[in-house]
Amino acid sequence: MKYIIEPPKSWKIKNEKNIEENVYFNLLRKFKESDTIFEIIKKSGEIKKLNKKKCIHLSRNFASEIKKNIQNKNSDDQIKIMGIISASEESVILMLASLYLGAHHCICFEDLSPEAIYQRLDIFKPDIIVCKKDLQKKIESALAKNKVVKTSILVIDIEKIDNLPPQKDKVINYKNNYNLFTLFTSGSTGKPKAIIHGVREYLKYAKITTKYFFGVKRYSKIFTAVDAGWINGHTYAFYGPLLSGGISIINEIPTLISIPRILGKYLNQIRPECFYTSVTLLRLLKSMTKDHEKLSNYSSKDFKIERIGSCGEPLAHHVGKWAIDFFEPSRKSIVNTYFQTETGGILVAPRDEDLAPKDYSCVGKPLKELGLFQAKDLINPEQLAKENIQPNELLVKNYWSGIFNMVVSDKRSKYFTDSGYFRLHDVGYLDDDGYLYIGGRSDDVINVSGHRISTSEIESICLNLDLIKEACAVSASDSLTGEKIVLYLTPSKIICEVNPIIIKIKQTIENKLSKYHLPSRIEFFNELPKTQSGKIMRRIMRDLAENNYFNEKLDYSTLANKENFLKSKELFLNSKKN
Amino acid sequence: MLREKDLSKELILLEKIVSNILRKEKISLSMDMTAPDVEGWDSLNHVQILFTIEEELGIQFPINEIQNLNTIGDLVKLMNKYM
Repeated sequence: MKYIIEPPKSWKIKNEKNIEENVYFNLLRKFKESDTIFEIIKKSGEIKKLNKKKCIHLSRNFASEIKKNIQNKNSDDQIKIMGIISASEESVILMLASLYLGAHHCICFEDLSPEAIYQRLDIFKPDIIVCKKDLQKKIESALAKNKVVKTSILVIDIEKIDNLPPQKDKVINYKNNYNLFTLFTSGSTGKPKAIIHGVREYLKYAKITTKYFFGVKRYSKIFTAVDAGWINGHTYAFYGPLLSGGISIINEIPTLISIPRILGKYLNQIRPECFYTSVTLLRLLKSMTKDHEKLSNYSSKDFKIERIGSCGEPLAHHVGKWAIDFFEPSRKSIVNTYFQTETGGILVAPRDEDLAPKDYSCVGKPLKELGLFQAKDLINPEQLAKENIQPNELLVKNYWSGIFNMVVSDKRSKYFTDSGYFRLHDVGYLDDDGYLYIGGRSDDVINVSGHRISTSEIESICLNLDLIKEACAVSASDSLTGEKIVLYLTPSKIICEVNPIIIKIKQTIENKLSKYHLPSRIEFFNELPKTQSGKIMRRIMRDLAENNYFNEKLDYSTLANKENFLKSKELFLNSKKN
Repeated sequence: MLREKDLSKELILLEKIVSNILRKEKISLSMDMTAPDVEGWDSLNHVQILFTIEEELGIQFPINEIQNLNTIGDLVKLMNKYM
């Protein structure tokens, strides 16, 4: 069963009837034909520039190819295109082609397993799937499982598209009820949720926030070093920069860019005003630099970056401080952005008018107009308990134009409180000066390098194995990825050799989900700690995962199976000694 | 064509680097293995391994050659090429 969640009526903009939007034209109109729109760091190492003329030629031709390969489509219905594709020349041409067709696109990570692709196909139901040649087999295997969705696969080949004679199909406008894109994210149930964004309001928000937080204007360059399947890869690597007339840098070598000499080489060659990347990449870069090293050790002294930004997960103060010391940007505050796929664009981030913060983990001061509060400031304790909202969960009172159009989920996901406030499902606090600090998720979602991983996704896969009786996935902190997954299991029968089972579990998780879901540690207990009602006491396991020893100071008073768990504890401690 | 024996020095060095990065006791590698065959060798650790090799050997691998690595053997041969 699928639930459709929409913002409350009071949050919805009054639909203006009969307005059609030529998004393709609007995105490109600030550029002259010879202007560069994208600079792409290719896998080969070269930098390829795409000007407006080339972008139009490639996207128009590819749009024509897409149309030819779609079967049995009513011409009045919006085309739906799924791209299983990483940030690349191909991904930007695909997105432009989608806009040419007035289509609804959905970009997914290339790393997804066939099972995960199948789940997304089942929800999105595309008319066509686009991918690069090397992924064709994996997608065919996902399609073979999904007998409901009849769709074709189109392999994108830039050289082939370039050599086609210019196609002459007209641009298709976006109509009132059309959507712009869908992105999938994990929820607490374990099944992916489809976050659907509309056209006008989302684009308005993308443009405003790109200019306001990153200072992008005509011809300025922004290097958003994230994957195309992320919301930042849409808002701040594509839509926002184009609408502002800025040049977007697209990176086809995602992790290699974190090697200092490689990053220095490209930043020096490309000279972006802004470098915006994931916290994981910053940590990785930091791990490979020596004390007091600067970007200028790897680039020329005359290059000065204007601003740096971070995204995906909370930024630790020491990483932020290191980043300022390393990059030496002109602006001394990091654009440490806070937002989610559901919010479409940045909700809060340090602004130019904010001074260099005392603590770089701060995400800035929320604008008053947004109305961002802790739940306990707006809702009484009885109501908080009734709605199962943590007192320090962050809520938004007022509409902003980036909010999703709808969410398709297999659970009535609680996006709004009964009183109509938007729930961020993150905890945080505002200090005395009004600066916001994010604590982490309030639900059972782990953030591994910016990827939202549902604990129940992993647990349900384990519980489907005959060998496993109980499963508990929790997070522990990790110096590179922010958080890591630690998995605790009880077997359904006596096991002598643990290693083969661990290998099997890891293979199953990777095959059904993705490599991002792989636990960094799997440990076995005879029994997991439970309450009287039989619920696994996750806080005990979280503490164990973090510290790797049993904390005697924790409160075990509500532990129902104390005796058995303590026996398990003995076994655990003994196995550690061995 | 290089015989495996000729690459043993590079393979031993790689094993040492990978063991350190992955924080494991001595890891054993063979030429036909791939990164997924080694527990913990994910994309993030892969970058740190490449970086450490470059630092240890005082070399810089061309980007297009790093992109084309499929097996441990490919990496070992690359190390040999630039040493």
